[in-house]
Amino acid sequence: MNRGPLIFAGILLAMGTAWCGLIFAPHLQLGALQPAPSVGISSALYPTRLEGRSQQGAEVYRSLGCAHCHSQNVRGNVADLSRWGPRRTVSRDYLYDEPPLPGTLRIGPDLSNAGARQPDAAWHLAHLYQPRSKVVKSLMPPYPFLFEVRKIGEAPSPKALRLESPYAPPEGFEVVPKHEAEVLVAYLLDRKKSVALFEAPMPSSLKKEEAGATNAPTGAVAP
Amino acid sequence: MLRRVRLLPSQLMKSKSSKPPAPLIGPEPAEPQVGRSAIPLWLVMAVGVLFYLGSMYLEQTGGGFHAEVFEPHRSIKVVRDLQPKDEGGRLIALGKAKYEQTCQLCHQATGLGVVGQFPPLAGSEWITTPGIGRLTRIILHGVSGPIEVKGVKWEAAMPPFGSAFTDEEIAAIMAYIRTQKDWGNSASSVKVEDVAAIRKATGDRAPWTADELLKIPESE
Repeated sequence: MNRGPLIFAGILLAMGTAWCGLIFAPHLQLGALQPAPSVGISSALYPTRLEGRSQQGAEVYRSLGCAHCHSQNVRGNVADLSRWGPRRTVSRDYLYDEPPLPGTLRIGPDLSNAGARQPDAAWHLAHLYQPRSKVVKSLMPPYPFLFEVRKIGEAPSPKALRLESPYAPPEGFEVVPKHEAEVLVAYLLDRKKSVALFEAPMPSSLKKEEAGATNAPTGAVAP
Repeated sequence: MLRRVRLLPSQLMKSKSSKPPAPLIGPEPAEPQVGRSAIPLWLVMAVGVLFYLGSMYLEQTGGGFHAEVFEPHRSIKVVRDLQPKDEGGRLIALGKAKYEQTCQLCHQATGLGVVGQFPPLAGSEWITTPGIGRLTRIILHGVSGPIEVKGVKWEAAMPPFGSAFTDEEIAAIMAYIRTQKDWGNSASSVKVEDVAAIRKATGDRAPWTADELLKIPESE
């Protein structure tokens, strides 16, 4: 160890270069990112802050750990674009996400455009209560604790889920979503990246095979 | 092992031999030091090749380190070329966004509507007329009562959207649904002035009936 200072300087240089490239330079380029006028929509800025219920839903999404299995990140390749979204996601999409939840795994489908693929709130509620009632081969765990199974009072609740056997509650009972389930679905329905940006133009040549498809790529039952 | 053992001079003196003993060990080897041996040539070459390949990769996929170039685009010029240039392209992009916000709830992303409830837009003779007179009136004021679409009778109850959308947005929605190739629609695009003129001419009124609309010439 007679060259200690030299070795130290070498390590510092390597680490410093990586820090500059991975943290400092991106921060210079994207640190002051602002909402931008979306392409084609002259008056509207994109993105906007989530409205109240969706914001609450984002907290539920975060607390349930949905991001462990679901990504919200469409990459720029054909496989991703044809299945998960009209365009790739870019930095600006995450501007108001606190924290951003792009996810690392895709055990379940990507949810960047869950609201555009499946705009039916009743579908999402039934799917959260028991995923296999909507997607036969679903691997997703059910979230029954977001719902209340209760005896039907004087009249059935207008919010009660319409479930079919074998997932329907016993005779005289109904399944009613709690507040958490409702705001989570509001958040999911907000998952739309249908606005084109300068840096993310809509790919025009891509075939839209999945138009009107359900949330899952295979084994899905249409709502 | 013996050669590694250092003997003290007093121990050496105890030797029975008359000859002085041969030294069992040489001088202690020098401590290893950094920088005393040359870097192997193969390592220099390997690092050079890696550096070259890395710079090639950056050159091809780095997008010039521009913040607005994302995979799969390769340069800012490619991104600029992908922007919709003409008025028609801009309108269609706006119309698609507005359609997905509002119209899609009933008429669906496929434009096929819902059987028995919401008539289809895909291939509908009400959408692909040469002129936009009928379609504009339907969006502005709604339509109610019996209406025939693609040979099927429907009971229409479309609400008016005249106050919800600007002229530009209505023109954009029509431009989108009239030219949506995935639905098999290939009518002409729309001009914002035409929508404004129809809005001015018709004013504020109750929803149209199919018979009233059919009196308007197709080409208007």
